[in-house]
Amino acid sequence: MAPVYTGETFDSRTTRSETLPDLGADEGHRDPFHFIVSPGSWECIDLDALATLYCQTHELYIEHDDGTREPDLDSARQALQIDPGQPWEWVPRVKKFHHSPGVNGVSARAGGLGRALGEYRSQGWTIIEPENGPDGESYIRRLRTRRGLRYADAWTSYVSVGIGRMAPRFDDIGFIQWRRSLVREGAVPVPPPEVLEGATDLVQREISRLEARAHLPHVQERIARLLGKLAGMRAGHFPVATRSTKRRRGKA
Amino acid sequence: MTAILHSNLETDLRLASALAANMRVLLADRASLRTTGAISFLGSVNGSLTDTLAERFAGLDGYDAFAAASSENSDESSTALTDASASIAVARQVIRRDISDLAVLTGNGGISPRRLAASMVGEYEQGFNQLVANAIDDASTDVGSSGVDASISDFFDAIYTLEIANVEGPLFAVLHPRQVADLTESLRSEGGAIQYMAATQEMLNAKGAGYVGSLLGVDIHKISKVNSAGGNRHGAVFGLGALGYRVGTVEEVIGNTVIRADEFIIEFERSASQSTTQVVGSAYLGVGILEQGRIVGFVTDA
Repeated sequence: MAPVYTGETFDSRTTRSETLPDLGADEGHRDPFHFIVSPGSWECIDLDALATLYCQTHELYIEHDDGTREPDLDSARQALQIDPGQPWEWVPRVKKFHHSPGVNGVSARAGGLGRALGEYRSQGWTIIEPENGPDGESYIRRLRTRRGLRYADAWTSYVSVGIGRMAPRFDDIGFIQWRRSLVREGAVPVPPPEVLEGATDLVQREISRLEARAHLPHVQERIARLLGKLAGMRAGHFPVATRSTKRRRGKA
Repeated sequence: MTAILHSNLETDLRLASALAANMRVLLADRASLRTTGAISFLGSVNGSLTDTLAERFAGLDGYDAFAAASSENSDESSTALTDASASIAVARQVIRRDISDLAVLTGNGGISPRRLAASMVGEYEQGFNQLVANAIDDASTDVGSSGVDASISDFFDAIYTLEIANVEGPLFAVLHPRQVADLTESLRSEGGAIQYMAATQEMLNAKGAGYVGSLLGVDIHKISKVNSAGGNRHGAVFGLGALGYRVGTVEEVIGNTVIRADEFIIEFERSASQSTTQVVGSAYLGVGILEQGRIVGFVTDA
């Protein structure tokens, strides 16, 4: 069957630039990007905090007879594929490698981007192709703005917060879930233990620095939180595949 | 008797609203990282037969050390020379404004081809800042936590990381205004002595707009161009030599009126048939991370 090209909706309102959002000079980006992962940059995230945030954003609460309510963490954990016995998990940090000629070896010549990305890949970075975004879609979003096209990631949107002012809104849960899926699906290899030790060492140092003021209640609280994190970091859990996890096409 | 009222004079003799003679510039980040010395100048690609030059690194002058011989007359093996390189590609950066003669002649001098050309000095600096922001968000190691505000602990972590890697000073931080605000807030609740020297007028004169001050010996520069990804700002703390930039200098332009600035040129191109003047600023510029070991990403909540 021959393809049918319908074109995009057109009317005078959508073509007037003043009807488009103005993100300001510094929001969004002029160039698209690849997400890249360094083998030396991982962070340990608090999955209980993630589940609590999920309950808040999805209004997921257990109502008690006395009128009180508490976050339905079990349902949240199930939805987010969190093992209750492993409240901390290592996930990779992802960086944007902008397709900006003149930056980090990207030349304006044909093939300049591929050459620069190839150099990064040869140094050990993992390049995540855009089609490996959430739900099999691209992780790059293109916005038409008053200042021209702008590019953002799939977890960043913009809301109007007053006359002439826009503010970014971030989907923290979606972004973390996507980073977890990168490990689960094997798109990003698990790092050597030395990388984790480096990050763990920094938390240990912070605890040591705070201990001099441990008599203060708020510092005690902070130390207790950090000790919990340290234990979670040392447990060294990574996201693992569950039966409900589908493997996506292609791998960077 | 009929009084002459302003309201009666509108709109033949008075206006309900008119434009003031003076013109102010809109609020914007006007920091210049280029002039701070934090980004090493690597020269130009002119005459180099390429737009991409690889900075060469060799493990000399103490990278390797003498070692004890295994015996008095042992035949020792050769020590390999460690090397590395980092590519800096220079690309065209440009801004163009078109203004009609009618727009100029009906004005009072506030917006003219000359004024637009003068404005391009600031626009070049902002373009430079954007390239630096694009470069630093590819640091291979990071401190800070996703979704958590920047804190003095993150700043200490950055310094520890650079110290462990033997990074020599001076140290610089390039942070987003949000990160600077969060860091300042964290400083307020910090106990004990923390060495923070806020920027004075003399320092601002020397280091330019965007310089915030020195914290624990690290010069902090604030730029709005610091990129975000997934709700986090990707600033960086680094030692001298972590980042570099290279330029290309336009050598010969024939046919237009040209103003040659430090690292860029401005051309005026006249379209007589359309009664417009094009003002085009062009630069050839490349920025990049030279040594990943000298830089640590500062990734905190946006």
